[in-house]
Amino acid sequence: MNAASTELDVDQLMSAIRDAVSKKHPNLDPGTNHEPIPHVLLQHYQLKKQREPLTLSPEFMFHGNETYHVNDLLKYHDRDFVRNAYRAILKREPDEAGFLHNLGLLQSGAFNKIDILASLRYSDEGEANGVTIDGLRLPATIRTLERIPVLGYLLQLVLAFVRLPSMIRSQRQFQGYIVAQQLAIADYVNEINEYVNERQRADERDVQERADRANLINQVQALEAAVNERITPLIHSEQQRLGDAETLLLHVEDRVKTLSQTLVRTRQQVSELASDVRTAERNLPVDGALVRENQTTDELHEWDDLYAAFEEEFRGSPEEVEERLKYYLPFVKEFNADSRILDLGSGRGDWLHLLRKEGFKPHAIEVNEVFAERSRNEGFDVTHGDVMVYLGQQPDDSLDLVTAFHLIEHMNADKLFRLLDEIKRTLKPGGKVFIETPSPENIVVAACNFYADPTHHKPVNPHTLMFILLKKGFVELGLQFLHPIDDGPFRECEGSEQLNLWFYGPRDYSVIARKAW
Amino acid sequence: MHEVLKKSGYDARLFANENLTSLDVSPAGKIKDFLPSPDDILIYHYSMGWNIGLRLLQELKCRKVLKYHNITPPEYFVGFSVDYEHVCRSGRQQIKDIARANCDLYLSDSEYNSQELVQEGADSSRCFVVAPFHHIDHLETIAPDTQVFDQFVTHDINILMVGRVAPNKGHASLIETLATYRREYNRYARLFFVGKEAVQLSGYSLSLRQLAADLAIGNSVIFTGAVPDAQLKAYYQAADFFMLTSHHEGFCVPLIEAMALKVPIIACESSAIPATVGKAGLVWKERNPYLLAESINYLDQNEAVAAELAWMGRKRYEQFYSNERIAETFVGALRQGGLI
Repeated sequence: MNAASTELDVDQLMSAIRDAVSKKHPNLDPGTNHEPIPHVLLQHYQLKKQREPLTLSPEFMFHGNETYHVNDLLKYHDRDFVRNAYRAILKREPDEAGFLHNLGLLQSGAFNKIDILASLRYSDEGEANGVTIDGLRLPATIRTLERIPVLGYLLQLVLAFVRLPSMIRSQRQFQGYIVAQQLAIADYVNEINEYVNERQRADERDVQERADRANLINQVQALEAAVNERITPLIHSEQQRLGDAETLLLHVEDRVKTLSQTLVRTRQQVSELASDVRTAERNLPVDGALVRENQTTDELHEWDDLYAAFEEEFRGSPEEVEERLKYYLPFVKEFNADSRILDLGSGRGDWLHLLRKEGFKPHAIEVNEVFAERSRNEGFDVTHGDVMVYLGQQPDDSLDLVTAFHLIEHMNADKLFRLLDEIKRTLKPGGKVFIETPSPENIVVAACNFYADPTHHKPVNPHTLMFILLKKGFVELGLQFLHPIDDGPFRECEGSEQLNLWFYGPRDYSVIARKAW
Repeated sequence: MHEVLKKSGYDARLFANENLTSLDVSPAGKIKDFLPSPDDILIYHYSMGWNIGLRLLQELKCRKVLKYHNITPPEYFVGFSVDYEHVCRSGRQQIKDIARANCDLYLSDSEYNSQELVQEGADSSRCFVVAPFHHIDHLETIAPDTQVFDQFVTHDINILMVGRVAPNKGHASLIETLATYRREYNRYARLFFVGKEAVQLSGYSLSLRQLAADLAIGNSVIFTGAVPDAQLKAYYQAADFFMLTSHHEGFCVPLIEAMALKVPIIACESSAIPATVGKAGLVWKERNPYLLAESINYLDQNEAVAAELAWMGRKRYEQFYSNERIAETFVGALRQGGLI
């Protein structure tokens, strides 16, 4: 489509434009013509005209380009002239003082229109606005000269003589203007007259319409009465039926209330029975554990003494053990002094000591009476009793942390499962459990050292424990092997790492897990 | 016309009731003395009801040529100006008498005007179309007014309409189009109405301003009033598009001014407009602001197409509407009519 080659196909161009419009406005039919606008405009204008007061001089036309001819302004008279001169030259409505001052000058004859235009245009404000008034400069200059004493008077005489023909012409124009104004007034009065007549006719129509309406209202009222007469008996019978239905409904509601009270009572009874059954279950003896119920009190004391002594001998010094337990401190950082921490099988109380140092207030359950007694004397909250029984008495979701150091190797599988279930039940959502037990991955531990403690049942495989915890729904599981023997003879030998692990590797392992939220 | 005849060696003179131009014009009363012979020729420019003119056509024994310049139907002025309505009504009422005055030749500005005369009873074999002579040659030679040019040549889209502010010119459609274009495509656009605003039509002028204000584009619709030629040229040169949505035009000289000065034309079809523009501009059958707004947008987005359209306008001007071409048509018509 360039100028050098083929000519532009205007029809094609127009159809492209039409397509663009239908695409942009799918609901618009570009084929329809708009309302013929002059008529709309005319109505708009006539509506305004009816409401507006009579103005005898034409309305002021603002020029967007700020250029006027002096005649554009001279055609106005008196206050319209002053007001429009301000609008055109100073681009504002006149202030009251300026308006009255200039109007006074004009009406007294001291200034003519040219003088006023010149004074506005060449004022500071007029210069700042810079509106162009063509044809003002020359007459303004002449007017300035005319104001020179004596000489000015002579000049005025000469000019008056020269201007006589044009003055006569403008006199004629003025006559024409006056006649036109009179005609405009006549038109206006006629229009008002027509309007008044129209109003009168409209009033008459109104009166007629009102009479018609009153008539209509009477008819409607008569109809209403007739309808009421027919409908009232029907309403009465419907009200009767409704009353019967309401009585029936009240009766049914009473019955339902009685039945639901019975149901609540029955539920309470069932729940009490279930609670009794659970308590009885917890107190049942557990197979494989030390069957303490069958032992006499004296026998028990003797055994507890012996075991306490055994622990002192085999577990290691309290300082050593405390050092090892410090491994767990980073994992209790999230708890505070008010957190509920329960140590299962607290034994000698090494862990309780460490926790107290860190500002926690733990409590514990210990089966060995000697240990329990000793810990209590040291100011710890330690209950003497069976772990499972004690745990069973704890409410649901009540504990922040449960710890079991070297406990689970004393249990058979069945009891271990139940222990984990109880831990999970009593932990708050998000609560933690620490379990530490000998690691069977160290062959020496698995084959020999484990059995040094005659109350040990059998070692728990770390992966088995992890698996069970996972299956029981614990989260954030972590497995860590602890306490290797540092000076094993295979440590330095290349290719003997596995051998070193078997014989001198970690002797214990720990599992840390969290109850899901 | 006067110049063309003088150049061709005729003793041509101008007569009028009032001297509205700077040309050498004699009073109308002296026509009879100047045209005593039956071979003389009277050319009567008819554009309003004037009884003296009609009487001259009937009384003079010389040959007679009527040059018909469109008369706006009075309906457009109803409610705005009783004076204009009256002048147009009497002008149109006289068409019948003029058409039947048995002139030797009827010259009209456009085919549209020519058809009006034929319908009123003029002999179609004596009817010819001669476009009006114009001042475009002058417009081409003068320098544009730099103040206007500098003020308005910006990144904004300038839409120009030239013509007196009168109800038959359909200004309201352009105001609506500008509002639509600014709303749908580009907020930076304005509309210039260059043309005289008559005091008698202040009602119309005011209602246009009110419409623009109602559509919230009062500041973007600029009424310049009548302007000197240098300013007119500057407005043409600053314009991106020339738009015309008149309801009634006899020929519309501003259209060929826009063509000559290479401003792309977007218009609505009515009266003589399609004939004047031909295929050198967009002339829509519908008066629809969405279509007109999209036309602006399309040409604005496709500069090459707009330039091509402007160039086609220039070609059309040179081909049909330069003063030389019009003079040829005029002389040709006189010759065909057997007057010379």
